Amino acid sequence: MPDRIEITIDNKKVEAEDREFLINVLNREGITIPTLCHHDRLEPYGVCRVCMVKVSWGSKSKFVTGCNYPVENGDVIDTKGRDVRKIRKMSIEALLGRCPIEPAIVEFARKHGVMSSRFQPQKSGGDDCILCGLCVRVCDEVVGARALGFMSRGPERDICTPFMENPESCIGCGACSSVCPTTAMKMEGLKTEILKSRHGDIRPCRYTLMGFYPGGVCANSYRCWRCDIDQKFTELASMEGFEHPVFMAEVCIDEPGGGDAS
Amino acid sequence: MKISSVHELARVAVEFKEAIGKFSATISICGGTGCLASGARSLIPVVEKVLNRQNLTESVRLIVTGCQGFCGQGPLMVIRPGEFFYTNVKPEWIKEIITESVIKGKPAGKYLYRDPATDKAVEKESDIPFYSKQNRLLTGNNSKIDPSDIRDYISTGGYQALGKAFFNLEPSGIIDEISKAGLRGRGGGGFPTGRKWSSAVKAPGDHKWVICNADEGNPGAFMDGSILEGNPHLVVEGMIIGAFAVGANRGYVYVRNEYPHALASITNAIDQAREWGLLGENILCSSFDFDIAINRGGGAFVCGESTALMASLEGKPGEPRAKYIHTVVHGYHNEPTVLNNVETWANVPGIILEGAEKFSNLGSNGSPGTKVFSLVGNIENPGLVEITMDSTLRTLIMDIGGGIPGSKKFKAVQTGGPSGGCLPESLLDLPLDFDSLDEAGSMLGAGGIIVLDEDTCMVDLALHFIRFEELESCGKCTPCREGLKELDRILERITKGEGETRDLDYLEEIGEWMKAGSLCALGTSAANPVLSTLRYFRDEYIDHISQQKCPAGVCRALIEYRVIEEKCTGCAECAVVCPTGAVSGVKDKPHSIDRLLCIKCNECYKACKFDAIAKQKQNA
Repeated sequence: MPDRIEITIDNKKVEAEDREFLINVLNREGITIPTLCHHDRLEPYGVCRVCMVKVSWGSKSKFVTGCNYPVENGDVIDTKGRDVRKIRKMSIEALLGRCPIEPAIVEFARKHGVMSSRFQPQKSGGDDCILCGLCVRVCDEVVGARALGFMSRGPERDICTPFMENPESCIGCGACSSVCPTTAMKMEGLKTEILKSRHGDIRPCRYTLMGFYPGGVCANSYRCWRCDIDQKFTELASMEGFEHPVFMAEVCIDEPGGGDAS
Repeated sequence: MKISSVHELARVAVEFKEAIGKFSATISICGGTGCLASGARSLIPVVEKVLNRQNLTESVRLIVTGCQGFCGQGPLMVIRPGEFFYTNVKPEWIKEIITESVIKGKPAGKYLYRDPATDKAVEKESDIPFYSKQNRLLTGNNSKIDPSDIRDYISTGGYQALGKAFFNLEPSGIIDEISKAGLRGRGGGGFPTGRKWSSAVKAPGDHKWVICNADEGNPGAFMDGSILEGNPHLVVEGMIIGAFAVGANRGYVYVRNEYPHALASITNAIDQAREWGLLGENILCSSFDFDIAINRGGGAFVCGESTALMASLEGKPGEPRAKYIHTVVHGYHNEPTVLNNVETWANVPGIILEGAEKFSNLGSNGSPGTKVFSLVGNIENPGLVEITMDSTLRTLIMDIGGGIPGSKKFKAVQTGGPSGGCLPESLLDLPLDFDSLDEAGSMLGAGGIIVLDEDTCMVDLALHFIRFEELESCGKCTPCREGLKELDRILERITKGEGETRDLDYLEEIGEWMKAGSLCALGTSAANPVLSTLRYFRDEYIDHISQQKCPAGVCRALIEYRVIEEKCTGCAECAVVCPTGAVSGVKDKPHSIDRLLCIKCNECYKACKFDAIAKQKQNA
């Protein structure tokens, strides 16, 4: 039994496990903090810097990322203060500057009160990737294929496949595109034959890999458009209050008629 | 041979000392990077030849040492026992110096160092102002020992601290001693070493590691490299003591591959220590096993950050991770790891051997001991300086460094490497400790000191360092990646005269955000050059923005070269050096510069002996 500790979140005393990640405590307490690079199934990464909160001990305080900060007894946490919001807004503004026309980011920024950005995009016309690393991490931690990685450093940093080639280890499961918070990761429908020749007819799919649906592999022979699970989720998602586990319609490969399914 | 006990160690120390004492004189030539660049290597065969001719090869010892510190005056040569000190040594002087100093035991007057303040020749190394104001706890032995020979180190009391640590102190006693001494991490963080070690002891795990961080990536800094080159066994001994204290059996030295001399030196030292039984199994019959491996770094600045270094050591990309869980608990391969800088390790044997009190009496209360600095930039005596940490910047720059060369004025000093801040003259009386410099908006960092004279444009300088950080940032977190790019864009705009007044607040806003929101120390400190120059040299930014004027005459878009006719004598020096033929004129008559042809290379300005070239725009 791990030690129970007491922390204060926004002036409210809360019990938690010692060294538990703050975001888990917040989720339990129903407090939401914005985040772009966090996913429950993945190790926290702490790079988007949108989930910043302030932790104080006595007169000392510092800003930490909520997703990977392990709470300790007596921590006083502020998730809504002015200075916290200022840092968050600046991070969002920077990401909006990087991706000025990416719909999901524009929407996210608007939701948090950032209407425009003073930052200039790195690529002319703007990028659609915020380098949150979710795709890289899901491919490594959940799928185990390691078909994606980072390249270059600093402002040049980018996502790529090994040696910029069609990755041999990719199983076309679609997990990367399902976790991508933007439209950067897309599935292609044209490479099904290559995948089939490499991995055979059956393969694990994003729903089973991400734990949305029990079961091992998909025997649907890469015909995602005929996927029962997907249709079930779509029906559920159309009902009020249910969020589709993946960003719908972005992920099916090999739609009838071929072409880019995204 | 293997030394298998403390008694044997003491015996061989006496033996080596006697063997070295048999020589009638020791000639030590500095083999530091600076001296090698100024031709020290060419002296060695000449000295050998002269000694051979005089039949002195048996009785006189020639050693090539690590960096002796006075780099601006190299090549350096010291002849002991007289301690006669020669600077800027030329091969043709050797014969006379050896005849006088080695054979007759007198200084060779005309080749001695002359103190520029008094213009008197100074005989001894220790009397030279550059050295006499220092307190060389770590680097003092650099000119006395041959770093490639473990026997030299043992003969000067080396590895004695190890014996004391193994048999007179418990591991907890060693940590107590380090804590009492108040040693703080010399890599820049200033974390109390004793506390770090005791956390590592408490951390659960069967395997523990010690790592020496020798990935010194600051441009213009060479403290760690010089210690590794000049006295590598000091670091090895420190690491063995540290490993014994925390219960680690394996260690790494992470040294950058661009340091070939330091790499060769530490590799040789580790091999020798292993050969002599000071590394390996059952060291000095203490039943303690420890060995060190070397890892060569690929030259990424960010790999000096402890978590990035460990990631790199594990074979992963050198990217930092959040340090909410300390590396002493989850470090290399998730096992407890003590990572200290070269200089921190090098301080350990001295503290153990001489006691904590002697160390804590030096320096200030919060920052005891000495710190090694590499003093570079617009300074009379660039070099390696070691002073107590209560010394002021003024002592370091004006007294030891000899001030600014020529008739130029001091403008600023950047402490702490590329991510340090720039401090103006009014803050020169700040002591060089961790806390004072932090408060002033700069940092002590690893000890790189860059002195800047009045010809430096602070906006251009800030841009220069931001570009360095931008190249070296790993790009993992948003503030560092996007912030540096944006700082670069705004600063570049200002240096082109296209800045706006609101840019200054924007720069500060980005800087503060990076400081509070970045993932690792590179990001949190990267904006320091901008924030500190904005704090102390704001007027210069305003001149760039509101008057499109660069007061130092550096930003090319804002300057224009022209001839001041009243001063021009028509010597035509400028016309000779101009690469584009932009300067024209009749001899002995005032010349003129064609602005369309001028590429603003500054050559005419440098060539003019009469200050007749102006850089500012006429209407400005």
